[in-house]
Amino acid sequence: MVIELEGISVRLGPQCVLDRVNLSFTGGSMGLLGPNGAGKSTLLKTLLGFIAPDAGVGRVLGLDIRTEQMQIRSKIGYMPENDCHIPGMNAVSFVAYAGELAGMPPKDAMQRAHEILFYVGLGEARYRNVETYSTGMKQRINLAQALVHDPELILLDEPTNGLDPKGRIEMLELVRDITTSKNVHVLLSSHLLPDVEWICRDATVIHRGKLLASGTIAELKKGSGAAFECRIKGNSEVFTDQLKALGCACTFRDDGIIRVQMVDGLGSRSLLRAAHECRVQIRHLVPLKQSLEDVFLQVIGESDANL
Amino acid sequence: MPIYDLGYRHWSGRRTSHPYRWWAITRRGVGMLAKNKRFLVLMILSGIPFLARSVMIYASTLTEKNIPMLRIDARFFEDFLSQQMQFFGLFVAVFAGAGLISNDLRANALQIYLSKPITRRDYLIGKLGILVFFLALPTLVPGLLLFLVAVLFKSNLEFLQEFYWVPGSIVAYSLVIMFSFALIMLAFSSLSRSSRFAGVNFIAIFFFSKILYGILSSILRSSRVAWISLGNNLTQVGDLLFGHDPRYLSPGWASILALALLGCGSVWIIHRRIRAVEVVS
Repeated sequence: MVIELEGISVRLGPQCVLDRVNLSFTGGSMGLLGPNGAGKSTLLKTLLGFIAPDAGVGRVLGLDIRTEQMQIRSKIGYMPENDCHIPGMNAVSFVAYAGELAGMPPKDAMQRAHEILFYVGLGEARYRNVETYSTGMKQRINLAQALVHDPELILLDEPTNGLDPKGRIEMLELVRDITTSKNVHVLLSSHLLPDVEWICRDATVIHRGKLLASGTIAELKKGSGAAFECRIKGNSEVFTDQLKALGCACTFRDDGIIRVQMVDGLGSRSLLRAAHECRVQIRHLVPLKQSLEDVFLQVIGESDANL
Repeated sequence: MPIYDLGYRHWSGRRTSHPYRWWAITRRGVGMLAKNKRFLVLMILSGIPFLARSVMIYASTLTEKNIPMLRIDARFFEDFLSQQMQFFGLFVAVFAGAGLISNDLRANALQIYLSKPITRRDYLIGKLGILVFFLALPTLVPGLLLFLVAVLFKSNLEFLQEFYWVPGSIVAYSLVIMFSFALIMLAFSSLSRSSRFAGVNFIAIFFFSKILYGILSSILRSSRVAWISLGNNLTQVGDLLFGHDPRYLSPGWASILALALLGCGSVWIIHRRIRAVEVVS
């Protein structure tokens, strides 16, 4: 087990930022999803030992997050969300220094800094001062400093923040390569669902400090029920009210198409039956392939509705 | 195989043991400052008093007359440290120390430091090590070298027999100057994201406390309030360590206490300011 959390709660002042979070990450790649302020970064910082949990127990790579922080940090790499660097250094010195801080001998750290900088695509710019780097290059060097000591797990906090589309794709490819080819576990925190869907096998949804859903992305998509697009002739309000009474979510599009998110156990037959009961004609019916975004919106919507 | 696959290999080397991680911070910090040309000029300038005092020692061997200025005794070494090298120490502390923590705060570097197996204490010791190293160059090192020069020029055992304890006093007094300046400078550096602000404040506190002492002592017509000034406290402790009568009327323990409180307060401030997460309540 790479990460195992049981009932982790974190309070910052009067606010409960994490509320009894239970999480299991067996390895590979996991996306930590949630809107801004959901508690994703706090969870990463709790795993690193930056913030002490008020309640609960947790283990990272088999090590206790309360008592074995140093051992944990020597085995994991962390790429922070915001622009971080050590002033006055060029890229190769910075990455080598990060390796030394992690306990690597200076010679090994320097050799590996060169390798890693080539790996993240900064080989040609490695003698430039980090402060002169563009946003994309700074993201890459932050990834390099997280990887230099060959961690078993890396925590990536919004790694594509501020990147242009090309830079974003390159960064995602890099992260995917790390997790698939290099056998490094990745915990990716992001509010960008396509990023998580691209890289991760597992996903966890956090909202208002609570863990709402967790599992493989395939399972989450499967478990969220079928979805359809339909166009009808007749009273659409009566029809959607009928569906809502069954627990389905309906949204109207500008072109007159209704998007219906069915609940578990209901399929197209239920939709047709509802249409028959409301005396409306279905002129167009297409099953939709569920995206992670659908799952995310559904889970967040249910959570907000329960408040 | 794409070419970038060659860029990542697993590393199976042996890590250094944790108690020495601060050394990486000190080593890198010293290396970076040593490349700064303006700082090197300052360090070279700080050697001028040493050369002048060496000439004075040599001159004292040429004359039989008892010229007060050329008297080579414990006071000679104390004055060298308290009057001349303390001044250079102040500027070395500002130049080397003002940005040590403030620049890291400005660049959000603490998250990088503390995400590695580095504790806040390691970080503080590492940064302190940089300042202590550079403060030793204008205080401890020339102080001991000057004593060696005196021993070599005097070339008799009488001098050594009379002042054998002076190297110990030089070491102790240098350490007091080094750690006082280093801790206070780091505290100021940790209070701001601007190294300029930190440096100006440190110098201001040093000179302001001297001016305040001047005003109060002239009002009270007494030097009993000498403990109010950082520089006076250092001088007072120097007198104690070199076995001289204190030059101010304030008790010696008051200066020791004032320096100890400043040191402890600085450590407390630094420890509170070095955090990977800024919590806004």
